[in-house]
Amino acid sequence: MSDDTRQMLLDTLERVLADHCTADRVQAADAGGFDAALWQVLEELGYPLVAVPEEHGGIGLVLPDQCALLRLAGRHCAPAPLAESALLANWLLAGAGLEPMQGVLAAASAGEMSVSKAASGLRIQGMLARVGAVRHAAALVLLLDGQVAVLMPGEYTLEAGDNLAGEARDDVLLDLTLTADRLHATDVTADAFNNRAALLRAALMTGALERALQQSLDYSRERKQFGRALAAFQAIQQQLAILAAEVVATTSAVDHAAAVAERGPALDEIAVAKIRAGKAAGIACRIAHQVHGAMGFTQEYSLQHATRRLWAWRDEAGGEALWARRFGQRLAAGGAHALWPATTASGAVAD
Amino acid sequence: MSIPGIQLEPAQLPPECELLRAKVRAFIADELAAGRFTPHCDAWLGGFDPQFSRRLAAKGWLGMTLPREYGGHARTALERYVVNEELLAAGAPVAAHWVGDRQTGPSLLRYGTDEQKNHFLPKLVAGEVFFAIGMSEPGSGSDLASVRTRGERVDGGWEVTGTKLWTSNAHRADWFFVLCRTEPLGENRHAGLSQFIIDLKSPGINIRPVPILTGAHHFNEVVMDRVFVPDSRVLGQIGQGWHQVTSELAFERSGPERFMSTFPLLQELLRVVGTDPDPHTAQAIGELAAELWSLRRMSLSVAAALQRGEAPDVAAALVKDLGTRFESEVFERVRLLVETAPSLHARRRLDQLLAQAILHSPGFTLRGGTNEILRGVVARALGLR
Repeated sequence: MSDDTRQMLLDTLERVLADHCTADRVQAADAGGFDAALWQVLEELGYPLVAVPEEHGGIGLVLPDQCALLRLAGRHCAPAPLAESALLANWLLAGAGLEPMQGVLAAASAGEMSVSKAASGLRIQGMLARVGAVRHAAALVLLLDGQVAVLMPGEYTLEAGDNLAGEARDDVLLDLTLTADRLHATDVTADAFNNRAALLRAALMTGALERALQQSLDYSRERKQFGRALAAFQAIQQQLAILAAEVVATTSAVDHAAAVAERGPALDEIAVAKIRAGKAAGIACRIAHQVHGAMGFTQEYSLQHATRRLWAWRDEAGGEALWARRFGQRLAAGGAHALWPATTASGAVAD
Repeated sequence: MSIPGIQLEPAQLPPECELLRAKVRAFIADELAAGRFTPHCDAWLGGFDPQFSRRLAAKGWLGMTLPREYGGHARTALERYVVNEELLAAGAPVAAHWVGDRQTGPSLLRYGTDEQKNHFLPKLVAGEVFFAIGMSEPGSGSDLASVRTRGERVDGGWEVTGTKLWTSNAHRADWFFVLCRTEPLGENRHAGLSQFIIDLKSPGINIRPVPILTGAHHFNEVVMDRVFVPDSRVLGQIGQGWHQVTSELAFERSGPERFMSTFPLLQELLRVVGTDPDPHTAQAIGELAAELWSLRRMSLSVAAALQRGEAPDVAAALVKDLGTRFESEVFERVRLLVETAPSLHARRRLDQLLAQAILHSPGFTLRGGTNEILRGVVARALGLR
């Protein structure tokens, strides 16, 4: 992977998304959050393969670069399941030694579902809650305990659901037996899958945060009240500076988590990134909407594409409360004297 | 999108920093074991202990980044960062040398004459002289360019008259760096300002304590009545004072002391609640630690940018705004998690640290540029003003 290729992938995605993710197109895809024409372009350009290692016929982008792509997707509120399809499903397939697949893919971890040994294989029963992209997917890549299976649409039923941004989040009902030939061993654990999903979600959020900031800056310069641009009022300047700080803090935390995760375990760093992103989302949405006044409170004005995603995404892949509770439990378990050493050990490299 | 000056590159501490960190931890453990200091919140303001500073100097941890020709240790800004964050985490009494190490040293190195550098820097590195900073005045706080202290040209130097306020530790420091007006206020209010290095024992100086909310004496009012400053103690160029003081702001604003002033309280909370706290407390600890960790990454990024020779003033302002608000958030959360009776004289350490944090807290978001001023700096970079 040369720097040129990497930069080309980022530049091309930026251009494609700028062309396709107009306010009208994003709004038209609002119910479900999927734009088939955009997805086709992304597929033709090879984006579903970015997280697949080169030896498996993919592009093999490192995690920080994968997050950079999602940042662009978030910034443009792209109605395309890049995270689910390219960065989770195809990544799961590659981890199990399987070829990447074409078409939209969904990915899920079996988690709490009932999995039992049957004569002909593994019996799987239960529900996967709120799975992204599965409504539009050609296949669902399922992570079971140490194994990956590819399920086809006829093998599961969906109960439609959505998130605050209208993106499809359907419950998947499963009741089937997977024969041994359909189970492929993988080193990916459920925790690793969940951590990765959280990091990717936080990366999307950095982009949506940037979008909310940019739109608020632009609007504050255009909109005039009392004979002055909103931007000229110190009360507005102060709020936008706070919003900018939230964007920078989240980006910094996500960048760090991605860098550490690329090298090895990054549970704490991902926790920090998801917590920070979730906190920023609330603050950023409040300020962005306040600056936009009633204008931003309408469906016609495109600020909502970013803010509804932020409100939705902060609760997905684990909200701040969940991540903070577990992070706090780990820190407390180490004892007070270990708090500071744990802090400085994050991302540290020894000789 | 890119915000001018706000893009923070992820920073990586080089491996040698971790070796240094281990040495600092061993030193702190020895100091604590010998009972030579008690951890405090905000000890970089309140913990004035020349002996402690000299023991650090003996380890080579003062003036670390200064060149060897002036007695310095030619270490990197990141190595200095590591030493300082360890000392802050321990709540160690670093106030005697803090301002000199952070600001005076770099200022002297950049703007000082050879004679000044040779005279002051080796003593700073050895912890033999301590410095204070004379910026604010009774009528000049955030609006620093409005200072009224004036320097009049006299034979062989300048005579300085005026009053400086909030001068930390002026009563214990040896020298202070004074910003004053050497030309009448004109169209350009940033012109005509100059910096002098003034001996605090000079005739004509009168120092009056201004106790803070704890009753402690850190701040002073320093009244100067025709204090003579020889030409050899002018810092940099006459008339360039504004440029000189503002060019150091990124150093002043981005350090770990801008988010770690209440760290000893957070650590004590973990001790009090034990290793298996209830879910609500665990969540609060997780939220506070997440903020701490993310602030540290940002602060390290600014330090690395400084090391590369960049001028990340805007990023530093932004991080300081977030960091100083976090310092207060720590005690606001702690007091709701456990039963407390904060008092400076409490027997329980948590209550003591809580009292220190609360009573020092108004300073967090004022010193080194109020948060409103900092946001103004950010807003300017965003193109809003």
